[in-house]
Amino acid sequence: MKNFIVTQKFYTVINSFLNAFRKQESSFLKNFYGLFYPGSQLAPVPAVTVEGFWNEDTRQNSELDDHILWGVPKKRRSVEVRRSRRIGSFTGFCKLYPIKKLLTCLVCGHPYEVGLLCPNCYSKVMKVTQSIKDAMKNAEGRDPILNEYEVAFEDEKLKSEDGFYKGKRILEVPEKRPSWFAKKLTQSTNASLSGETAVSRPNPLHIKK
Amino acid sequence: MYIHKNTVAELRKLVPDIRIPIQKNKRMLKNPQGALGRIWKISKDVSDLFKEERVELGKERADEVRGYAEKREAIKYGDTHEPTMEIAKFYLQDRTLIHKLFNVFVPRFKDYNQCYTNVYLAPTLYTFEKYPRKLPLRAILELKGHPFPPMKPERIPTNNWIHNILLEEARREYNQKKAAAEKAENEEASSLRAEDEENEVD
Repeated sequence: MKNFIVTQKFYTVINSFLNAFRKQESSFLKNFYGLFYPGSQLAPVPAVTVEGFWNEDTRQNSELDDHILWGVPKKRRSVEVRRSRRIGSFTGFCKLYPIKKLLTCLVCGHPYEVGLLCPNCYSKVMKVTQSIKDAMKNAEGRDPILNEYEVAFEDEKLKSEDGFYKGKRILEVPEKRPSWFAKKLTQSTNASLSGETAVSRPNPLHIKK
Repeated sequence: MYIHKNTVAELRKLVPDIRIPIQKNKRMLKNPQGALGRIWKISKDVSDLFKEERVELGKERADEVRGYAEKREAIKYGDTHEPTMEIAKFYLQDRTLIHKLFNVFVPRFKDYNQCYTNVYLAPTLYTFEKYPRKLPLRAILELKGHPFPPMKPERIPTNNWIHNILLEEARREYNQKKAAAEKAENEEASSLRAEDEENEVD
């Protein structure tokens, strides 16, 4: 059975190819050679003129015959088919699938994927980093940097005459210090270095109550 | 046997510091110029990283850049060594960053026993252009000791921490002792009361 199909296909290919030569009015050869026919624009300048099979008598003077016609869709594709081709279907090949490996963030409570950062915390952190980066860009200019930075937010006041604090260069950021970004790791709350406000007692052992 | 300090090489100079799996084959970072264009791309990212100290890149590119950012020649040889200066000039496209390297980063990382960079994977992004799909993963590369807020929270306390276990045990012991003492007092009091009652009867 298998051989039969192969031979059948083989014969059909050969027949279609031969029919192109058998019938002089077949569209295949005309369309293909129409480009390079000695009257068209793309025709190469031959050293020897062609005489015999392809004369101007055989060639029809219609516009369609001068170009190749490629395959085009014959019927309109319905909306269901179009969407299933784009997105896939749950029954067949699924291009978009629901994420099942999710955990809840212990800081903010939003869900996040395993191995990745929490999107809520990530957006919060990147907002602050961008503001610090902008402050860096304004402070630097074109001079080379020779010292490390000490970030000072809007509500903090660092006493300094040269613009340095303990050998570090002060970066003034026009924002308030977020509560989750503590100055020291042992301090659980926000506290300014000026000593005006009261400082809450740190909880170094993180003891659960 | 006495061994002088200078005769033995320091262990941290022989053992690689990065405790992450490194790929056997390097990624070519698709570009028309081949291997030279790859290094040119990496040098851009390295100079960005040294300037801003925290950069967001593609996941694989960040992993590739990480190895080049951790070069230790500046700490080893200093700024008087010619080949190190050549490397620094090649990888740091902005000339002002060479000053930053020798004045800021070298004293910062001089006594580090760990690697100098961190990599975190950013959360996934989705687009709805053309068709809804998941974009490739992106990573955040940063140098340690930066002035920014930490990307991940500190370790969150649990009951399995050793000092929490010990404190809980101590608290339990204290309560048990207290209960035992109270019990003993009550028994004594009850026994005394019983004796008194017997005496009254007699």
